[in-house]
Amino acid sequence: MFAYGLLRKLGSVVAVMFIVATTVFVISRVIPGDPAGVMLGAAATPEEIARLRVELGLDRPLPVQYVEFMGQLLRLDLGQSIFLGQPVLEAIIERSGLTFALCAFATTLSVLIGLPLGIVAGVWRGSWVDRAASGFALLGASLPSFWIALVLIRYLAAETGWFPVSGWGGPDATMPERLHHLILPAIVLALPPGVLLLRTTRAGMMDVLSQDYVRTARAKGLAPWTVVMKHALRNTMLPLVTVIGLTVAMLVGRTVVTETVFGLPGIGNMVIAGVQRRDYPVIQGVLMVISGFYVLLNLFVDILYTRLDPRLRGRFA
Amino acid sequence: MSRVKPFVAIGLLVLAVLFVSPWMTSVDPLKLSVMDRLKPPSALHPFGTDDFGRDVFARVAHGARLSLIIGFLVTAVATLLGTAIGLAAGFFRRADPFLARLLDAMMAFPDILLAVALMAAFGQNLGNVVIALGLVYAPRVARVVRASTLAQRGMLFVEAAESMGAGRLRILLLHVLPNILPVLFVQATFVFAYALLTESALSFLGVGVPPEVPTLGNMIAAAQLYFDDAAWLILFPGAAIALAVLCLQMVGDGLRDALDPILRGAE
Repeated sequence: MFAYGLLRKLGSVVAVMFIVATTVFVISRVIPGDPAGVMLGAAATPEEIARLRVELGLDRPLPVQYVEFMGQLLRLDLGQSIFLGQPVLEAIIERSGLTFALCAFATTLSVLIGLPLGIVAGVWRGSWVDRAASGFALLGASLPSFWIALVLIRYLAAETGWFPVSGWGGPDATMPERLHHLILPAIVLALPPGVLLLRTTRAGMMDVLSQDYVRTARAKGLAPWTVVMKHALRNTMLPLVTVIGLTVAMLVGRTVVTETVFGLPGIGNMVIAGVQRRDYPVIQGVLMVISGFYVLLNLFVDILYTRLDPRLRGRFA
Repeated sequence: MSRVKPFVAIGLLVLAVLFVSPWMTSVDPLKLSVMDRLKPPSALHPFGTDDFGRDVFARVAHGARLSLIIGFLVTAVATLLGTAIGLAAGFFRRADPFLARLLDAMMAFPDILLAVALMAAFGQNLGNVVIALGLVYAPRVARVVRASTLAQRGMLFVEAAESMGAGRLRILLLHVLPNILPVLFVQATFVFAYALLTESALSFLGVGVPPEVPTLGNMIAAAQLYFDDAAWLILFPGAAIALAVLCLQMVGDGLRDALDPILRGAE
């Protein structure tokens, strides 16, 4: 049953990725006018534009371009960045280390913020702790992240010098130096998903604590926190797996903002630089890689879910 | 219910105040005054002045209204498009597998990244921001509408309407749609809030509305150079965005809590 379910799920993943790729193709071809002309700017000669058109395959009919595009994707070829002078995939891989580290750091932070606060708020429902946590959640979901980033840089970096203002310390920086550079960006990035995690944990905790088996555990005289941590939390964890998966996916997209404000040379920063230079292959490539990552992450979460919850085994939707 | 209503009312009230705030100042947000460059907040200029000597309070007031209008237009586009797709997916069994995959695929793009890519393709102007963000958030509306429609489709009153010979479009628009309106309204409120945040981020990154349009995000982007000396240039516009988003979330949360039984039925 598991193999069959997995197969169905994989089919769905392939279908979704096919639509994702088609969407990316459509987005790259709705550019008004001539992309080659736009990319080279006003100073380009007609010959240069014609050469780039051939290089990008824009001189061929659209259906041919579409088939070519899909064929390249299957060979993991994301095209060539004109401005970086290297294959897009190579450029992405070079920058992915930093983005990965930043996202891992931010995910850890968001779990450290969201989980304990959510547990406490759910257990002491209606108390001042719960209200403070809910207020924090509401505020955290409302502040524009680029604005928090600017405010943190201004007051915690530029004024006090506690943290570096931007960058990540360059290629020779030591591990602690790099972590120091990534603290503020990670906080900014961790806030929205941390808040989501807080809300989910709180709701899950409240739900589980009202169930009969929890009353039984309490009735047989277990310590209140043993019941919470050992009995209730385990069942709350299940939906949290999905939320944490979602969190990571959310983070990767938001690095576009965070990396730009903090001047971190990761994938997100590369997208904005790509937009400014009209480097369309870079934008396409990053869209493909990040959405592919999201789809695979979702698949992984689904599989993990059925492993964690025996009731779902064989019911792989 | 009783604890929910004040939050909804306060949220709506503050949003209304933000919307009419340009009328609370008679100062022209575009009036330059080189003598009054970068003045800190005072009685005359409650939010200070910017690098051109313009009154920041007047600029925030006008910017907030402009951002709210853009956010509303985005919500309208996303809601109309998302409702159409969601109803079709939920009601027409043949179309559903494809539409559901399409929604999955669109949700695989992080919102801000998709918006940036669409803006790079469409070109920077106000109309394109509305279209791009409308396309980004339409799937988020469609998902909710599809789920609610699926739930409604199995209801007895739909069967009754069918047995009386009502056409499919008639059932969809007269029987199903009115029942999912509350859920749709809650989701639209949240889309409004996300749209405000994403629009300001696009402006800030320099890929949203053109820099000369005085949205709150553009004001913050333009003021970055002066943040060390004139913090008010960034603090006030950012606080205005946060306030608007906070109020929308309060309204959305309040309505969702009030409609909880309906939402549960949709799952």
